Amino acid sequence: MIDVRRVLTSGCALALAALAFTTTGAAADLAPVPIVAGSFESVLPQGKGVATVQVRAFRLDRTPVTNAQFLRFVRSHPQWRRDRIARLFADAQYLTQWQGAITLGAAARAAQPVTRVSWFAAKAYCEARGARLPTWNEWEYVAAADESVADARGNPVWRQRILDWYARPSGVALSDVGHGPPNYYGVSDMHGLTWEWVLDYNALLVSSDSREQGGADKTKFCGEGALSTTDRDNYAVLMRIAFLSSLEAGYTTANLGFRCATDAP
Amino acid sequence: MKPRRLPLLGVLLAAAAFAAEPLPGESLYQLPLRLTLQDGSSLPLAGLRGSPTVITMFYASCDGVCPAIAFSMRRMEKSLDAAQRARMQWLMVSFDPARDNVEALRTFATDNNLDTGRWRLARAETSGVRDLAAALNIRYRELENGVFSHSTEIVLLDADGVIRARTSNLTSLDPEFRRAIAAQLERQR
Repeated sequence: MIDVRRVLTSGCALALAALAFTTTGAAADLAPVPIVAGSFESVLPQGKGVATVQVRAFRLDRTPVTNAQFLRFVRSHPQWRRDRIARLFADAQYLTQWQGAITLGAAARAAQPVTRVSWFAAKAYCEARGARLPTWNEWEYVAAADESVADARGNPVWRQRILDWYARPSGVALSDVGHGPPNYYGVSDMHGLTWEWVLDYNALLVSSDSREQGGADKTKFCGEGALSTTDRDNYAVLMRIAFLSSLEAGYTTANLGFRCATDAP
Repeated sequence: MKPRRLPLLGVLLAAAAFAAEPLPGESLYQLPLRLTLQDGSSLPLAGLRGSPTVITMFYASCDGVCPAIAFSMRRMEKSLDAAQRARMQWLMVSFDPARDNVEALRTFATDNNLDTGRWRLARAETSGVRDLAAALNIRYRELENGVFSHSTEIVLLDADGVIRARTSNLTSLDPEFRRAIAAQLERQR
């Protein structure tokens, strides 16, 4: 009984928040959403005897960064133009979906999430804004929410919805950002639109190397953080970790974008 | 008088041309990273340009594999002759700027018998550390208990900061890596 009421209440609050959001217009889109501090069980092991991760209060962008936003950045920071960027910072596919170095063209809509951006470029964009990329733990913490609860990971319907997205063929043009319903925190598109860079993408250690521990490569990792979980319930999140772990900082792909975070003021 | 000055002028012009030569696009020296060394002095990463460098990342309170990385690099150094040794640079950059101050770096050097005449131990601010690890494709994460989980990679940069070889072999001298060092030293002559 109480549970039902709580769900109804939060549902109403959410509807109101959504209404307020649509009426305040584009400026509000850019305001990052406050995320309350909390602890949760990450899929990533945190070291011996540590079960939960503490996430400090922070702010996260409501949506992934769009083509239009990234174009403004490139115009004011020309060293990140695709025709000027040093090869160290991005591969040859960087921003190739744009018509020109500083024009989007017909194939890249302004409100679509920007993709084909490297980690270096994503990080530089956030830093230019006085922000940063979210950490994996922050990303996973917010991504655990559905529309009504902070941690929906136990809900098979929600899990299936995410897996259905992964099962959809890629190659279809990306929707504009904010097409999905905002989650419990008011954040959209954590699932169902793009993959997203995180600050510590290179920290997740789910490569074949870590699975070979115990063999000749025992010394390859110093520490206890090698991923060894076999939690099938978290398959969708594990896929993300596997994907991010396969990347190098200069890589770009057609489905990989990002959003920014800031510490709580 | 004038003809005699010309050779010197030529040398100066050649030196200026070398310094002005743009860095290769994939050079790590594109990173705007400033290091603080074990003696407290400051060095931009690009200040290493000019000689080949063996570089790795570590943290001073790591008591397992990090001394083994230093030992492995020393084994490489010992395999070089004196003339080769004089032209190589060795650099270890900390993952852990919060704890690895200049004194911690110095202590690590002493404990591991690293000759700070040729070796540099360095720290940098957090954002720069992330950039460097990303550029070297070294994977690391600070766990909740303050321990760093990281991959062990020793990387050879040529005189312009381009990656030429890498190894994670800590148990013996990696012959391929050793050959790559020799090739870079040869090229530099």
